[in-house]
Order: sequence, then C-alpha cells, then structure tokens
Amino acid sequence: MAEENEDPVSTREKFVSAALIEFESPLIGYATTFLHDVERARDVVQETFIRLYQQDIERVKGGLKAWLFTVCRNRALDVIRKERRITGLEEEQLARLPSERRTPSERADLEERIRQVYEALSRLSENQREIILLKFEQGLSYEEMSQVTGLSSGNVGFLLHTGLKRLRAFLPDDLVQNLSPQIA
Amino acid sequence: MKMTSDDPALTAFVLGELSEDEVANTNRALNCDENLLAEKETLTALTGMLSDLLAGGSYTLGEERITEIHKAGQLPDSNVLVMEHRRRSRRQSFLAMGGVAAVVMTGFVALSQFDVSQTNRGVDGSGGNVVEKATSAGRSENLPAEVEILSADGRAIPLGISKADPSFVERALLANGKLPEREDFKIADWVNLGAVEFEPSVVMTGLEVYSEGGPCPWDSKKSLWMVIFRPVGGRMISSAAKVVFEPEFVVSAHLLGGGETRKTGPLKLKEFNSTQIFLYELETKNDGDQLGGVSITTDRGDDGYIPIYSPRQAEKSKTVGFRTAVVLGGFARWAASESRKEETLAMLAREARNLITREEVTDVSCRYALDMILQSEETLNR
Repeated sequence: MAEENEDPVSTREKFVSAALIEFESPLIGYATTFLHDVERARDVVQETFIRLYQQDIERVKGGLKAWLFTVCRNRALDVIRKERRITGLEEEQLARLPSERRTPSERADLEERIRQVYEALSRLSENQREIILLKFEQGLSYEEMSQVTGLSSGNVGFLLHTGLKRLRAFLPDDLVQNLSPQIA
Repeated sequence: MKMTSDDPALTAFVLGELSEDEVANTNRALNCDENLLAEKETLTALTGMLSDLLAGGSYTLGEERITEIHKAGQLPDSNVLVMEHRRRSRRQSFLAMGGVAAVVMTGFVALSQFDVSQTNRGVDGSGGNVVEKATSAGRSENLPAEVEILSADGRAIPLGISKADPSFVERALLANGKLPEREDFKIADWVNLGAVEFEPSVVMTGLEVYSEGGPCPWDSKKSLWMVIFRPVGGRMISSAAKVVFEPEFVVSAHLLGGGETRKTGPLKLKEFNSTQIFLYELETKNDGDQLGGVSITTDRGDDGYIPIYSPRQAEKSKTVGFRTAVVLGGFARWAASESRKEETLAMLAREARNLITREEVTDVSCRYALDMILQSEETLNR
C-alpha cells in the first residue's frame, strides 16, 4: 500500500491537519467556556494539537474526539487553577454569534435569546453547565462526555437531565412559553 | 418500574441515547401517561432550541498558530526519548533480576521463621464472623479482611482489584449535601485510582513495576509504602506477586483497605489489564536500609524483584504518584471512619488542591477524584 511507504512525518502532519480542520473551532469554543478569553483559549488549543503530534496515531485515532476534548479540558483547567481565576460567562463567549445573513432585527432578536440562554446557564452548577455545553455546543455523545469529564455515563445523563430542568426554570417566561407543547 | 419526569432516561430518550429495548419501554410509558408525554415534548423543544442557539459558532486558530503547531510537533520526537528510557529501565531490570535468586532465598528463610496473626477477623458482608478489631468499613469488596502482619512473612499481593467510581460522592453531595455512607467507601479501590506517570523500577515482558515509600500523614509513628503494577499498553497480563518484610526492621504491616490472608501454597496468577496500586502501612523498628522486597512472576516466564527501602533512606521529595495515592486513600479512609474529623478533611483538601493546581496530574479519573475531595470540603463546610 502506498500509505505504508509514506514518510511517517508526512503521515503525522496529514493526520494533525485533518484533525485541525475538524476540531479547531469546536475546541476553541469549548476552551472559551472555561477561560472566557478567545485568545487564551487559542493558546490552549494550540498546545493541545502540539501534544497530538507527540501521540501514537494508531492509539488515539479511534477516540480522537474524546482525546482532544479531554486534553483541551485539562489544559484549560490548569490555566484557570494556575491563575486562580473564577469562572463565569463573559463577553467573549457572548460575542460568538452566528453570522448568517439575517436582517438587523432578526440578528438582534437572536442575540438577545442567546444572551438569555447563557445567562440562565451561568446560574447552573459548573458541572451541569459543562455537560450542557458539551452536548449542545460541541455535540458530544454521552459516552464521549463521559470520557472527557471522567464522569460515569450514568452520571452524565443525571447531570444533563437535572441541568436541563433547572435551566428551564431560569429561562425567561417568553422563551419558556415557546417551549410548551402545542396541543392540537 | 413506572417512569416519571424525574427519570434521566427521558432526556436520554429525547437525545437518542437509549438502546432499542429502552426506547421501546419508554414509548410504552409515554403512551399511557399524558403528563410524561407533555414533559417529553417540552424537553424535545428545549433541546432543539439549545442546539440551534448554542451550536454553529466558528473560530479559527489562524495561520501563524497552525504553522507553529506543525513546527513544534516536528521537533525531535518523543519516541527517541521513550526508547532511551526503555533501554535504561531494561538495564535496571537485568540488574534487579541478578539479585532475585539471593533475595528469594532470604524470603524463603524469612517465611519459615515468622508467623502471622489476624487481628481483624471480619469477612465479607455475607459472612457472620465477628470483627475483633478495627472495622471492615472501606474494605475493597473483592478483598479479604484486613490483616496485620505482626512480623515478616511472605504475602500475596491481591492483584486484580477494581477502581473506585467517585461519581457516587458527587451524586450524594448534589442530591442532599451529604457524603455517602461510610460503608460505601472502598479504600483499596480509591488508592488504586491514582494512576499517574512513573518511571518503572523494573520492566518485565508486558509488565512494569514501581515502588516508593514515604511518611504516613495520619500516623507519625508509621510510614507508607506503595507498589504499582502497570500492564504495558493496557494489555491483559497474568501475574502474581509476593511481598516479604524483614522482621528485624518491620514490626507490623498491613495493606490499606484490605489484605491477603493466604500465606501458604503456591501463588496464583491473576489477570488484569489496568494499573494496580497498593499502599501498605508499616511500623518499623531499628534502622535498616532494606525492609524487604517483592517477588513478581508473570505468565510470560519473566521474574522480577523490587527491594523495599526504608522511607528514611528514600528520597525526601515524594513523587506526584505517591502523593496522589496517599491523598485518595486517605480520603476514603477518612470517609469510612466513624469520626470524619473536619481537620483531617481540610488537610486532605489542601493536598488535593496542591496536586491539582501545581502538579501534573493529567489522568482524568484521578483529577476528578481529587476534585471530589475539594467538592466534599466545600459542600460540607457550606
């Protein structure tokens, strides 16, 4: 096979490049939820990909997504702990808004709803918030969230369920009313 | 059992995380409960809204950072270092094995000279034996009762133990602000969580072993000794190990959280594919360089030996691995105790905080377990 004869450095570079294309953005978004600073999140993600270079490709490629999120999470937590910063949602996170073509009023409406959701999220416990963001921002499965956080899959499900119930209670009435089931 | 809106399976159902059987069961429950159906509809709408609002942002690292990643990643690669490290370990292994014959002989003589008395006769939960001393709380489920080795003897190390799942602590703290019952803490399983990087003292085919001694934080008259067995590449290995203590220097020794009661007969190989960590509490007398040793054998035909050095002779600065095993074992020991003294938890939390913030504990389970100590302190002091 051609791949077998390929230079290992080139194989590794291709592997990391492909991972960068797929996970660069979600990882920066994820690290930002901890660090509240996009530039510092980029530092963490850069370090994560450098670490990926040093791994045995065969060992990580099966669970690449979980591996990347786990390393990224650990590095972000290290930064927080070293700097002893207190977590909380800040402007940088709220600044990450969709850029699709919308009218100014649609954009304003969407931005307001996103702000309301993040505000409600900030009232949850740290682990509930993290699980909800891993699920809905990053699209991780229960199993992947379990690998990233070190929680059992059952506990992930428990935190997600209780977190969603609490979140609903904290959301403004107008948002919640739209969620009520439509009775025919 | 009837499904309610508090059941996390409802969210798992909405998110497509259930098995076929579970989906069928949930559908049956929804068909006969209108309230449950309404709750499911609300959850569906909420999760849909969150997916729409939270997903889809776009970030990039930028060309400069990506170039830096490729540049840094292609620096002299870590395999070179690993190979050198392996060669060094292999040399140590050969040196260590050279002394095996002599030490096994010493151990054999020691075995014939010392007897063991069980000071704690508690057995597993199903048995009716009376606990004569101490408590069986916190004993790992798959271990026999704690045994105090009053003098030197050869004892099998109970390889094949499980690891604790600290999430039960978090659940209890979240649910009612209290720790689980003391009987729920299996000390040996908590010690066994402390998987961190180490440079092996002995490398055998398919198995690496490391040991270290240090002070005992809860009893200044005693010391602790740790031994770690790590299957190479997480592959299954069959192994047996026997620890022998020198009676001249060791008054008593017992395995934290449980012990091996069998002292005679051939050692049985145990299968395992994850790191196995054990902590022994030692009471020593006289000054001696070597307190004993561990003989190891595997189904691959390899034998190894690790000497147990006096903690006084060992390096003063303890490794992250040792400190982690001690703080995790210490926490389970504290949680399994009747008194649960506040100051002990504060001491453990201080050490856990140091390990998380200043040291390289990268193992996810380990970090989570250390977090649970901090969360326990925070919740109980609230």
